[in-house]
Amino acid sequence: MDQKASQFVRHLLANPSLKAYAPLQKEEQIISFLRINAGRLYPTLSSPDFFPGQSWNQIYKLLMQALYASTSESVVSGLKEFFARTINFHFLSFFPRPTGRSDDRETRLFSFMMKLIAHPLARKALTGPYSAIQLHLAHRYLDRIYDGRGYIRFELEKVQKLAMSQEEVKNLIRTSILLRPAVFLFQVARLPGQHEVAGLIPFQFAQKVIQALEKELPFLPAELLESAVYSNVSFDERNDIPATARLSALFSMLACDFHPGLKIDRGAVGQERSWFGIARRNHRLFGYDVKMTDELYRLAAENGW
Amino acid sequence: MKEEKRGALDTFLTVAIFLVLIQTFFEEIALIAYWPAQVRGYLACAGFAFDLLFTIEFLVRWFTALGRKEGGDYFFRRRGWVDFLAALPLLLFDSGPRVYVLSLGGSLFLAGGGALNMLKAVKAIRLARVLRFLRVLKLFRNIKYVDSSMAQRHLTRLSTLAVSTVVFAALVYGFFVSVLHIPTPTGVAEAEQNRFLDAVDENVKAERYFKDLFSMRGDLLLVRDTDKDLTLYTRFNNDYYRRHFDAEDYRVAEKGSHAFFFDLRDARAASAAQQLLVFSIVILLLIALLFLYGPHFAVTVTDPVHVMRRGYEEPDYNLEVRIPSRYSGDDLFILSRLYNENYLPMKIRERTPESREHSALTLESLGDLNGLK
Repeated sequence: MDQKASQFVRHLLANPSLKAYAPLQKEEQIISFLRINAGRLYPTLSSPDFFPGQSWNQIYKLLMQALYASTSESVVSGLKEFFARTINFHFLSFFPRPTGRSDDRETRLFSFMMKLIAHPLARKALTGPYSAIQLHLAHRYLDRIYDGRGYIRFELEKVQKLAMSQEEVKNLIRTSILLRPAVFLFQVARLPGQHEVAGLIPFQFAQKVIQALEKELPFLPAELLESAVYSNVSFDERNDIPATARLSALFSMLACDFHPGLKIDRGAVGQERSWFGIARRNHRLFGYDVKMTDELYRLAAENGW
Repeated sequence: MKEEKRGALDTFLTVAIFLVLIQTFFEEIALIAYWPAQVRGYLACAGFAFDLLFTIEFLVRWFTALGRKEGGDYFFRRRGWVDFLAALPLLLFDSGPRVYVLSLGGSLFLAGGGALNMLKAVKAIRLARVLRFLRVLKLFRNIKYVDSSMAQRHLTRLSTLAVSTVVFAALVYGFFVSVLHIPTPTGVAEAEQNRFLDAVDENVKAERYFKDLFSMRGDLLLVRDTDKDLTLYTRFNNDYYRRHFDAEDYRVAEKGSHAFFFDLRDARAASAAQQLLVFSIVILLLIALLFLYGPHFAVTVTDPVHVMRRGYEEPDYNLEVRIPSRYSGDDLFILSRLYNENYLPMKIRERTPESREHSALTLESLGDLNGLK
């Protein structure tokens, strides 16, 4: 039966309409598909050729296990590649906290990522961050940000006082993005009356998460953990959260809504520009820094993104 | 299978329309460049074949529509009138008579204008020839330049209006020219020839006299004595006439017992140049509509409407409308700005985790699951 479930999931994953999606996005799409079409799929899937005698819940569970296994395999492989080739952790040396040996640090960070993947809520929250990494958002936008002397660069260099190279800032933001879902390892507190989709957490709760993470990830500097965790805090609530946290939030949320296969019609602007255009009008609700969003909107418009 | 056949037939007709445009163009060029009569004869035959083809096409469409009780709809709404005007009158009044005259062969010239009545008939309905230019509309119908059916309809209607106006203006102009005796290149040539004939002394038979006449008028080709059925003087030999003159390239004017053959090719070339001008106007008008106005219409009307429609219909389609700065004051772009700045942010704000649950996967896209059994 497990084999049948794997076979069916592989068939779904191979569907051309999912071709452009990142693995976790594919997983989301398939979960939605199964939920939406449960009624129509059940007669086929409960037939003797598939899962005879099983209830829909049992079939769904079997398919989920197969899907999680398949997606995890892809995500783990992608993360391994990312840790091995894309990122380096030299930026950590700019922070005061002493860190362990680099190979040990990377291994432990990778293990922590595996923990996120295994946790249902954190895994779901990882979709945006993972896609942001795949889309090279930090890389592309940081290049343009450092071409000029705008608000974001000022915030990074003068306010957050990141005395490191552009490449190291990129790596800091990438790591911050990846660690952003770590808050979901804890019982997440929500802001009262807060929009469910925005996914923001209260500042006090974020501080507690940072304290807990400092124990779990002692080899990482507090600045990095703050950047990752505060990316879930509204800029409206705390306008002193680090610039890297604000950028991590924007890139993660953008990637979460990004549809790789979407055809950009003539007469429409690009997905990223559209997203920032909407984000700057909804900045209060989603807790974005409006000035930062404006600048990113301008960069997306200038570059046709 | 039926669709495939229909597609193949449409492709064939599109190719035929392209070819007929080329044929129309070359028919005029042939007159301007004084191409040999034989080549012009081939072009005329090709024109006849096309007229016949399009007449058959019109009749098939017309009777099919009648069978479905959609005759009026086909004729008036689906531009059956273009199919009709660009086929039947041309077959009956242009290419048909011309091919008939051609079929009389090279002896016509020497026969002393035996088919004059037919020639006059051809000249009388020459006005109908401008209707050929309506055929470009048939081609336009097949071009799917823009996706939107609204853009298609607007462009088609506009092009029909523009081309029909030019063609009918040429037709009406031709009619008034004919009724009011406004000088045409052929008319002017004929009037000059008539004035010349008035001065000719028909009683003189001396060869020297004819020689002088021929040196005075370069368009005088041949003089025959009709009583004796004898050629008195000729500028070229018979072989030259056969190769370079068709039935419409000359006129015969009689004075006394003499028949004077005049060359009309210069006048025909001038008329062909006028036809070519109308043809060029029609073609350029359509090119301008298709390649200048079409994209403009798409950018300023159908594209923003399409983007907004998708945004309203599809939960995951949240792209902003591109607003060109120079058209930002257009009502449609003011509406687009409201869509970008109010509707899309509101759409995102109103989104719930449940409303986000949709998938690019569809049951239909799964295909046959039997292979997984």
